[in-house]
Amino acid sequence: MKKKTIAYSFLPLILFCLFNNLFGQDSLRLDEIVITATKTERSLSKIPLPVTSISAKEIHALGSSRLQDVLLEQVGINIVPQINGLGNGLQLQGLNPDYTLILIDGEPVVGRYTGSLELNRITAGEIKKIEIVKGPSSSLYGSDALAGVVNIITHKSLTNKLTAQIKYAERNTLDASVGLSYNKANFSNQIFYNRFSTDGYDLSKNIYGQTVSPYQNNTLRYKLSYSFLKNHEISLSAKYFLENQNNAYHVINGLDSIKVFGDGVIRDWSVFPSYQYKLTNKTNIILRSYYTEYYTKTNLKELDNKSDYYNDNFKQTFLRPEIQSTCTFSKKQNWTLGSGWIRETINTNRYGSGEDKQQETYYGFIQHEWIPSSKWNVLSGMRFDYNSIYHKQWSPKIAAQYTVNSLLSLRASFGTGFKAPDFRQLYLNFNNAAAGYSVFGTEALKPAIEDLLNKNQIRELFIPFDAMTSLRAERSNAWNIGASLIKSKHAIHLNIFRNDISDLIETQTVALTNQQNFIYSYSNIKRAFTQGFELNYKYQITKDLDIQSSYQFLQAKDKDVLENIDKGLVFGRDPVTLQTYRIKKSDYIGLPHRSTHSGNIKLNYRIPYLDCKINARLILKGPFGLAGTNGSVNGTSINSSDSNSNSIIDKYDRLVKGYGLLNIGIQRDCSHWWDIQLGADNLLNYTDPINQPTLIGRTAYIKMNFKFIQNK
Amino acid sequence: MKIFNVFLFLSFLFLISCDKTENNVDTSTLRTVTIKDLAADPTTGFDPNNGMPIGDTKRFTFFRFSDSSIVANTDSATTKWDIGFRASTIIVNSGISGPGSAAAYVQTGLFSELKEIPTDSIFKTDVSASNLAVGKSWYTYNGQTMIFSPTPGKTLVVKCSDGKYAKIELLSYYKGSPVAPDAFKDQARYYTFRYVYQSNGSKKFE
Repeated sequence: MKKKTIAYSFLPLILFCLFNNLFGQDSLRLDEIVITATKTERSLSKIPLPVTSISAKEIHALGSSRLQDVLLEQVGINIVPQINGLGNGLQLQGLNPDYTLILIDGEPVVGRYTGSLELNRITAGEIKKIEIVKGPSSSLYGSDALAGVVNIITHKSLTNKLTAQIKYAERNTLDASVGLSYNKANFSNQIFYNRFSTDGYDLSKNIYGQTVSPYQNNTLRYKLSYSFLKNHEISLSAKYFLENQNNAYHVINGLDSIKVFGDGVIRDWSVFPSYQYKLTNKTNIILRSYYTEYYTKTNLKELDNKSDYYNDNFKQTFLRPEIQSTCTFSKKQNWTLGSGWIRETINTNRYGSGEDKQQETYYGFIQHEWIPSSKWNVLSGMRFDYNSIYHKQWSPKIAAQYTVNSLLSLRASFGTGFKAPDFRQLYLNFNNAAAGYSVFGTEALKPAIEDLLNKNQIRELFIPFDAMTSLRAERSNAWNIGASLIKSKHAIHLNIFRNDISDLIETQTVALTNQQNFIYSYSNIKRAFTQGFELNYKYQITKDLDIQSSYQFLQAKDKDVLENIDKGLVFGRDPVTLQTYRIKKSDYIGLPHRSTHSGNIKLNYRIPYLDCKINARLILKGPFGLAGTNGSVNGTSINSSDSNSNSIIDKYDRLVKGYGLLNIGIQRDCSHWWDIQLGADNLLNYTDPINQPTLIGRTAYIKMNFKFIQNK
Repeated sequence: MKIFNVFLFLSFLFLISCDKTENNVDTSTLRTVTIKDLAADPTTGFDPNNGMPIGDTKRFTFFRFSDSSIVANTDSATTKWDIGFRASTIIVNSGISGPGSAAAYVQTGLFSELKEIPTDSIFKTDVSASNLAVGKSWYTYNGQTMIFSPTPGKTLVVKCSDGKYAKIELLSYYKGSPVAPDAFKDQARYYTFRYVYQSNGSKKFE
């Protein structure tokens, strides 16, 4: 009874708010400046490509402390666990984490583990905004930008400002940041420091070790820019990152069952000087050079006898000097030209011999923006890469936007993307004696096989020796067609995509030794496609209340499997009745770790007169399948979804159930210089230790944000 | 169609409920026989030092289709057997494996759809250890779970030592045909399979 009374007493207030704000401003048409899609500053509404921008305000509202927490809530982005369950990767338009380039201020983040980048390495505290370009962007960014680009733009303030944030969450997770902007005359200085520590979490209590072991990391960034003379500016950005891990986990790999422990270190630093010269109002030149180094040290010992289990010092470097020039010939024509050189090296015990493996790339790109009329906007571009391993690669792109009227605009783009074979696929030299197999990168394969042949150790070669060739780059052709409709309080964005990927690199069985050990390597064998659409609807109900919902429909399939289904060559066996049946095209679901349906619903409400904001976000993922070789998570092996023995995911298989995550946050602006946030992520406490080890249970948090701005 | 499927299913259930030692005299020349858990040199465990199987005898289990019987290992050098099983290796009585003239090949397609052996099919014999008539296509091995599963849609077509034909479908490699075999709990090297033996010498299975 009492509850009801309270509810009724709120009703007039809610109604009042609704009516009061019917005449609220049209906030949906605010245009933003984005840089990632064209490498030049352009307004978001004038870009003929699918671009999303996540603002600092949105990130603030989420109360997130790491990049992963922010991306997890975006539609069309799927966070998938890496093989072995160590960390997460990001899946864009249904493509694996390897195919999305992650940049900070336009420069790539390196240090991927089996293809995916650990998103928890990046602090959310220094993010001014995140720009996501969906669809291939190799015409500007070269390799790895096959599914798209995620560019994290860090804070830069032109006023003197001191900011601080502190967040405490369950599991003893502490995240603290401090940022300082100091500007004087022609100098601009930005310093940012973040410290993050967590006890990790454990979803399987009965197994030795935790699902995620405790770790602590520090991020320090300094940015300087100095303008001199009239049109010259130099800038410098430097970052240092250090993480310490206290690992303890249970390895079950084949017949091995080993408890291991030990410390791990990740050290990552970069330096990025650049120089910009405005020759005229219409032409500028930018010279920049980016160097980054990523180093990890792993030292694992067995718990039982304290003997060494695994030791590795992994070091990757990336150097890229680049020159870029933008020329505006008229209001209708805009040219961007650039060229550069990349040197990448890797050194790890896993690639044998202990010496640096190196590859170099030379590249040049050209981009043309053409605005023939106020309704049309045409963007075209081309990039050429020459690499020491995969040789040459052309990446063209063309995109156009047509503004039908003030409400509706249409866009279409076609582009190609590529991903160079990574160091693992080229140089891996890995032997697992206990499980009885070896894996060689293609550059290491021939010498290894030759050696075994000479020693008469090969029982059978599955592919001829001469057919063991170098890898080509993986390639894609992609279409994106979209429409945006904005009418007063409603905004609808639609994007339809299709990616055709060829020359996908897969492991391939190469030989069998006399000891019955299999030898694997890599080959450009697979073809696949992903297609679907993304629909986003935002309704500004009142000035203080808005609702946003997004939906993605996705199909990702192996073309060879489809071809075999067409020929009637794919079957399944019922595990109970042992009956065999033929798989139809409609039975085939597709590639693992992809939900056909996913989406989210977000609600933002500002309580007037209380300076309080409430947000609720529901993130939904439909059922999906798991691959056959998913490894084990803390000793519990992940079962393949395949229950009818045909190695593909079809409707007869055990799919992982769909689920929803509910995140809720309340923010109160206590004064103009500080606010406080309370919230809980995964309020419904949904966990799935085996299939989704990266889903943490319910996490309540408290966060305070301080901001002091010097009045001029 | 649905009724037909139900019928198939029921007849299948009936068949698998038959004990293999049962010796029904059927009036028709064709019947589907299901053999359950034929031991093919099972192990007693694994050597903890190198992971190699222990307790196995390295001997094949020989089988004759005409009367569904296991042939003694001492008869390995005779033509009394048609097919032999050891671990995941399947041999036929010919070439390097035995003195007989048996031959086989693997046909892709549903077992029930194979109503007549195509005239252009090529029967192979056991040429060498790495070139056996049956080969490896009958199973799929998952290196991570270490599970062998008979690949669905593979039918072994065998020309027996007596010159007659049989078609075989392998159903399970684990004792008791568990729904989701566990490499560490379930016993491997136990074949469950069904077959049709055409005693009239024709290539038809209808």
